Amino acid sequence: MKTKSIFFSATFFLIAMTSYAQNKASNYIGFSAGVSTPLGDFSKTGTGSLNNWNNNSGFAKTGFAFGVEGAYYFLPKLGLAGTLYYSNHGGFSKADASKLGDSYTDAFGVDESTVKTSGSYSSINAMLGPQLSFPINKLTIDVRALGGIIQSLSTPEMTVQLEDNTSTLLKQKSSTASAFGWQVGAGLRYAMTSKLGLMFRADYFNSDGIKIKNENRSNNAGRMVTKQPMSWINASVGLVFSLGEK
Amino acid sequence: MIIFSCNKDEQVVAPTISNEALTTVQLQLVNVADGTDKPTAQWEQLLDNNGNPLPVDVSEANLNLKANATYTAKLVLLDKTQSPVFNVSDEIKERANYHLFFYQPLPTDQPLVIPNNYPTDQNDIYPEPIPTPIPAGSNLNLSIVITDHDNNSQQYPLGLETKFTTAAASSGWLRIVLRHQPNVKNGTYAPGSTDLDVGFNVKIQ
Repeated sequence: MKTKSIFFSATFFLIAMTSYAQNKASNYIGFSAGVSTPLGDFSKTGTGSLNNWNNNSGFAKTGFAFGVEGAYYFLPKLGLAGTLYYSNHGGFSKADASKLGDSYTDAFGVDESTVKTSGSYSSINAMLGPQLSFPINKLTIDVRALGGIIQSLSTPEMTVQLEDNTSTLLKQKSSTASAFGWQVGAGLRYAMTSKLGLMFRADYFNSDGIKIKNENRSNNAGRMVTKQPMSWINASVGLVFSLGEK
Repeated sequence: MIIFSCNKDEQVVAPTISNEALTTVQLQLVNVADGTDKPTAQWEQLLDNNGNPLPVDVSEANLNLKANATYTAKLVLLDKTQSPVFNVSDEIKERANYHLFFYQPLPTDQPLVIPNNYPTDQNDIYPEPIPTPIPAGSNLNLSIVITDHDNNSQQYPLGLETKFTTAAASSGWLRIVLRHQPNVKNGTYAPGSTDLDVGFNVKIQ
């Protein structure tokens, strides 16, 4: 509910700002890459405590994102923006695996548990939505609110062996599920020539989560992630190519 | 600046930090038809100052029940090595999803709920005060039904709370075993390991 409110408020804000438009923004396509920093539950590394396990913390790491984006202006300052970005946020570190192991040892009251981890958070998101732009000489300030789909390509995997029991290994599987996501952000474009420019952006992305499958959970005990919330902020730089006449 | 996150495979072994000791087992019963009839029994094995087990104390491991009666029963597990005494039953209840108690009245002509392979396995002896092998004799006319359950998606019995039903006068023993079945609890005895194995003298009159 909160995320929807933010999304729609940002959309109305952008539409309202069009009344201040003075110059026409140009259509463009751009390519950018940068640092992607996980936020909220996605970045948390807590496992919880007995019978109050944290099933949302994602253990995501600061990673990277790159992709393509563009905008088509149907009003002088208001256009439809689209983005297609790949993101990677790492996986479980050795310290994470140790912390998870401690939690399963406690959760099942066993002498020891062996945790094996692999893989990383890897995803593509495709977004579409309104973008408001303010050209000031060679600079253009962009603000936008987008909605769309996040498609997970992989998530970290984990296998937990309780003591010497190899017949029922607890498994958190890699997910290739998709989910709704939204994004708000701002950017600055600097025109080096009439066709080529530089782009600097900061974008916040949020999704309530993709489904995570688990295997061999015979008894309800310990942390079990069934849906992984995702949120991050991207800081990126790139090149933009203006399309058509300004 | 672009930071590439590593995603190499990791493996760690996480050992347990602490364990409670099960030193004392108390059976607390209440006759459903007569609230003043509240038999109790206690099995105890304390530890010395070095943590080594002392001889089992079965001086109070005697359960006297009335014939043709029904009792509600509660099992209380204590760790008397801690001060104040730690109630392990609460811990077991919190961890109900992978613990299961089994109750075995003896002698019986029914298939054993708790397996016993004596004399094939000479080390498979009953806990005190139950003799090994069980002397030939009439059955102990006692049936026990577990009334509490865990919180698994498919619920299984736990066994801290039970209903004892007696028939005609008889005598024998009651063996109680707590099985620890992490992620393998399925309602049967076999999976897992034994956390507790105790016995009581039972007289029904």
